[in-house]
Formats: sequence, C-alpha cells, structure tokens
Amino acid sequence: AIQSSRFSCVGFPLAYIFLACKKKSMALKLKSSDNKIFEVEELVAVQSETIKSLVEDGCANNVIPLPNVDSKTLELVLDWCKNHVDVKLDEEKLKEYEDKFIEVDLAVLYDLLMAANYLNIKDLLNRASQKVADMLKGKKPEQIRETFNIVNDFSPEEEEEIRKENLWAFEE
Amino acid sequence: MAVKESITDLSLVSRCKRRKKDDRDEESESETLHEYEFINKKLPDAMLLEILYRLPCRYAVQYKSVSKHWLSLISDPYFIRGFIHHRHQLFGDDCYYSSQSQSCSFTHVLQYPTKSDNPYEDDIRVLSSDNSSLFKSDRKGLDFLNFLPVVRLKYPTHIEASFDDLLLVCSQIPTNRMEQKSGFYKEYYICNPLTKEWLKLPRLPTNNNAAIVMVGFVCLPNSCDKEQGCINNAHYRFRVVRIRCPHTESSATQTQLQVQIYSSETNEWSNSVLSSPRGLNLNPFLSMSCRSGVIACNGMLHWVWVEGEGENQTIKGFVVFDPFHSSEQCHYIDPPIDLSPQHSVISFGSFQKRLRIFQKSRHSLDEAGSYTIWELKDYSNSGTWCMKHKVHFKDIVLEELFGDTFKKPGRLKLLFPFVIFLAFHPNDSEIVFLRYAPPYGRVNYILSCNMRTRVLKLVDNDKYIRRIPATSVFLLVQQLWPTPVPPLPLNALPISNSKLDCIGLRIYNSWASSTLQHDDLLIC
Repeated sequence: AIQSSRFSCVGFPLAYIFLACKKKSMALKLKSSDNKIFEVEELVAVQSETIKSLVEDGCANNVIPLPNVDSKTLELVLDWCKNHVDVKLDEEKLKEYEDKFIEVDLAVLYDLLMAANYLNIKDLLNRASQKVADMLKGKKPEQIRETFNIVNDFSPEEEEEIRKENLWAFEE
Repeated sequence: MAVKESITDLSLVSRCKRRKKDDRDEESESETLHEYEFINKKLPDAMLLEILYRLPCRYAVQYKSVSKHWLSLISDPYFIRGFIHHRHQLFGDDCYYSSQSQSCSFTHVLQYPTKSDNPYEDDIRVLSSDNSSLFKSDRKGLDFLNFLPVVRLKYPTHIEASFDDLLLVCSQIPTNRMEQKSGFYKEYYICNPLTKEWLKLPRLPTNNNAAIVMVGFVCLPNSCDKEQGCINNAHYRFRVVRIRCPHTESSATQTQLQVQIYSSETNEWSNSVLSSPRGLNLNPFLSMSCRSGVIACNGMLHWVWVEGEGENQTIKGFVVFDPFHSSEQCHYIDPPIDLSPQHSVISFGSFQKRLRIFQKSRHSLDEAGSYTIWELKDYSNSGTWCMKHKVHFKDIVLEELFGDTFKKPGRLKLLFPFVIFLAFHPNDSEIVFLRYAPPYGRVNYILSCNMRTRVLKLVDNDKYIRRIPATSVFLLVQQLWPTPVPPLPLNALPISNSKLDCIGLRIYNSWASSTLQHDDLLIC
C-alpha cells in the first residue's frame, strides 16, 4: 500500500482513470467548507474550470473538497450550473433565470463572486461582476466608501485635487 | 486487489488535492498583497478590477477619489488598457459603436467664417447627439475651449481639424502685444474638449506664418490586440501636416508640394517636399479640393486631385499621403466613376475607417434626382470603391416633426436642390447629415437622412447658420475612454508592477503639468 501510494497522477495509466470515472456514472461529490457533501452530475460540475481540470487529471474520483465555498453559496452556484447545462433552455428563459438568480444583496454577491472566481466559472463571474458594477453605477465616491466599508485615506486637499484634475467625470 | 485500488485512488486524490491546494495557497498569498474591504470582507484586486471595468468610464474616473488604493489602481495605464480591452471582448468589433455603451455619443462642431465686424471671434455651433452633453449649448463660440489660455486671452483662434475625440486648434499670437499692428505667429494645440487636457506643439521652425496652409491631423492609436484588431487610444502617435499653398498662381498643376510635418515621437516640426509618383497634380488648393479639405482616416491623409479649371474641372481621384511611413511620397486613388462637377455635387468624408464620397445629382428636380454614397474598400491597385447607397429624392419621406413647410404635394422636391452634405454619422452606416440652406429666406435646417428607411429628420433648426464650407464641420466622437493628451507612455508595465508604474505615471504627469504651467507662464 505504501508503494502504491507513491504513484503519481501522471504516472498512472490514463486508460485506467477513464475506466474508473465511467464506473462512477459521471457523478461527482463536492464538499463545502462546512463539510456538507453535494452530489452532482459531472456535466454540471465541470462548468467550473477548476473542477474540470481535477476531473481531467483524474483526481475527482473521490469527494472533492472545496474549502473556500460554504454550503449556502455552493448550493446557489450548483443551481446556476444546472441551469446552464441544459441546452434546451431557450435564451429568453435563461436570461429570465439569470436576472432572478442575481437579484441578491451585496453580501451574497460577494460570496458568489469569490466562489465563481475560485471555481473559475466565467459566465457566473461575469454576471456577478456586472451586477456589482450596476449597483455601484451612479453612486458618489462617499457612497462607494460606505458600501465597501473603505476608509477615506485622503486629506481633504488631496481629494479636492483629484476632483479638480478629473472635473469632467464629476460634472453632471 | 480491490482494496489496493481504493487505496491507490485515495492517495491519488490526496496528492492531487495537495498539489492543487499548494498552487492555490501560492495564488492567494499573492492576492492578499492588495485587498479590500467588501462588506467587512476582502476582495482581491483582480476582482475589483473586473467590477470597475464594467462601469461607465466617468464613474471609474470618479472613483479615483475613493481611496489611495483605488486611485493607484484606476490611474494605472494598465487600467485603461484593461478597460478598453474588456469592452472589446464584450462587444466585439462593434465595441466602439455599441448602443449600450456611452461611448457612442458624438458632437458636431460647426465653424462659420469669421464675422467681419468681429475678427477675433469665430462663430461656432456645437451640436451633440445626446442631451447629456458636456459641451453645453448655451456657451458661445469657442467658450467650450476656454481651458486653453489662448482662448481665455481672446487671441484669434480657430479649429483646424478633429480626430476621434481630439481637436487641433490654431491660435495667432501677436509677436508684440503692446503694439496693435504687430505681426503674429501661429501656435497649434492638441486638446480633448471633454477632459480639458491639452498640449501645445512647439513653435514652427520657419517664419512663414502668413502663408496659406491646409492642415491635416491624423492619429495612429496602438492596437492592444493585433488578432482582434482592436485599438487602444491611450497610446497613440500623431502627425500634424501643414500643406503650403504654392506660390505660382498661374499654374494650377503642382507636382511638388511644400509641407511641414509635426511628429509626436520627435516632438519636432520638419520641412519636407511631397512629390507625386506619376508627375500628376497634387495641388489641394484648387477651389474644389479646398472646400473638401484634408480628410484623415486609416492613419492617412486624403485630399482631392482635380484637373482642369473652372467649369471644366473634373475630379481625377484622391491624393493619399501616409505621414507615418513616408514624408515625401504620395499615391493616388482613382474615383469610382467619372465624377464631373457639372453633373453632380461631390463631397467627401469618412465613416469609421473608410473614405466616403457623397455624390448628389445636380438635376435634383427631375425624377432621376438622387444621391449616392461611395465607399473605398481597398487602397491597392488605385483603389476599389463600392456603392453603399443610392437614394432617389422621390422616395424620401419626411418625419412628422418637420413642420408643414414641405408637407404640401410637390413642395418636397423644392427642398433637394438646396440640400448639401454635412457629415456622415460616425456610428450608423446608414445615416448622413445634411444641411438645407436656400439662398433666399431665413430657414436653415440641419437634417439627418436614413438611407435605408429614406426618412428625413430635422436635427436642428438654427437661424444662425450661415453658409458652411465643408472644412468647417468637425466631428468629435467619444471613445470608450477619453483619449489622454498627451498620449500615455507606451512602456506601461503590467499590473503586477503597478506600484512601479504609478510612480512612473506620477513623474510623467508632473512632467506634463510642469510643462503646461510653463506654457501658461509664457503666454500669460
């Protein structure tokens, strides 16, 4: 057993890995940071580039731990993935779904952004970033600081200087 | 065996896991260098950028004042590059002209001949495509350029050319301000009327200020992704070309032309002589070509090549001059058809990166009266043209707004003889701006005509409008990111070196502002 554990991923015959995957009927087990197990179809999970590369490397035969994603967020993310795997869903319905999906508060958006980034799901990352951008658009810099809880580290003079240099952007 | 298998499996997974985890640890370590509070949590820079790239650019600029870290991120030349590139990926080829982006707004600056009673003021009218214009229409004349000290000092100043969102402005500075009748010298400025950034070009080397010149201004933006062909206007090179009117008035044909070329790379003017490859006429000062001016597109300057005089003048084609590659050689483009001014009224312009001809038949009262748009498809083999649109006047319908003047049957055709070309719509291939100005009466309209739907709309009704030479319509097209003046230095470093970069930028900025202040001092 000790010897076999020294087999590296690359060294292991590829055909063997394929066989092993097939046996598992394309289902993957994902473990959230709070130790909940989610069983999902491979087709759904591989929308995450991170999981996809694990699968391709043959490292997804057991439970895949996702220590950066909590169960609440993972559930949302997997729901997104499920709805994006179904090719039959027409564009209009998909848009409707996405619009509804993304109608969440900033805290949830933050979790989604982080999860989408970590799991590398491009369309979710795009959509979540766009949503945050839409929420920020039109806000004054003070309001941005409040939203993001950022401390203003400018002196009033410095702030005025930036304003003056970029007056066109500040004028209504 | 089965046991062994599962052990192997296990070890494999854990090994892989370990590997992935290590990778991730390294990544997250580098990411924690700059972090932000996002509802009391941390947001990595890369993701904050993803969000900022999706904002309209004026908000992104406003948010420089959020914190020092945001300032350093947004001021970085890399940010502008990323911002532009992101839009390109989002909107593809149409990125500049997407109706969703704010960048599609544009402004026509109409410059009228100087009033004789007030030689120090040009009549300027600014027409914006949207109401949220930064060039407020209540401003008079050159007021929208009053960030230029020469405009504030009321030196005779006029607009020479425009390119994208930049203007080339020329001002006459008296050599001795104490004396009323002292001579003057010319100063050229490049400015962005939106951001109010400006740059003064160095003094002309020779004192031929009184000479009549035609001026071309052309920019060559850097491409940020050669495969996609998208451009990044934060980095660009530019040329200002002054073509001197030949001395000999008798011979209209000129095979050589004296030019002065300013190059942004050398920051110098240089004298040069343009010569034609086939000994053909280069002279742009013949009446026909003079009215059309110098058209800049595709990194090249174009003007009309005319043969003959007076009534017998015919357009033989175009002179094409590429000041980025040669300071001496020109080449020619043939016209699409025989463009005789006896049968049609010809105007020129550009649509996006293509040269266009607006050809209106002179006999516009009869059934066959029409106008035609030609577009240059290819520069090689003396040019290949394609007919984009042909609109018969009898097919044109008026939009409701237009008023009653031309509603009566048979009246509409009275309109067309006095319709002249103004400009092509910068974003919509199918729209052309026209002007209706009969020699009698006080009505003056600026119209837009959709060549597909054939609907004629009223854009502006202004008592003020007088005869406008075609050279005096300047188009300002807002870009995804306002073109910085002067251009950002090209050796911008990637974001990983953002700290270094910011210092570089600050030095550059302070250099720029110190030269500007220096200029201020010189002038004031």
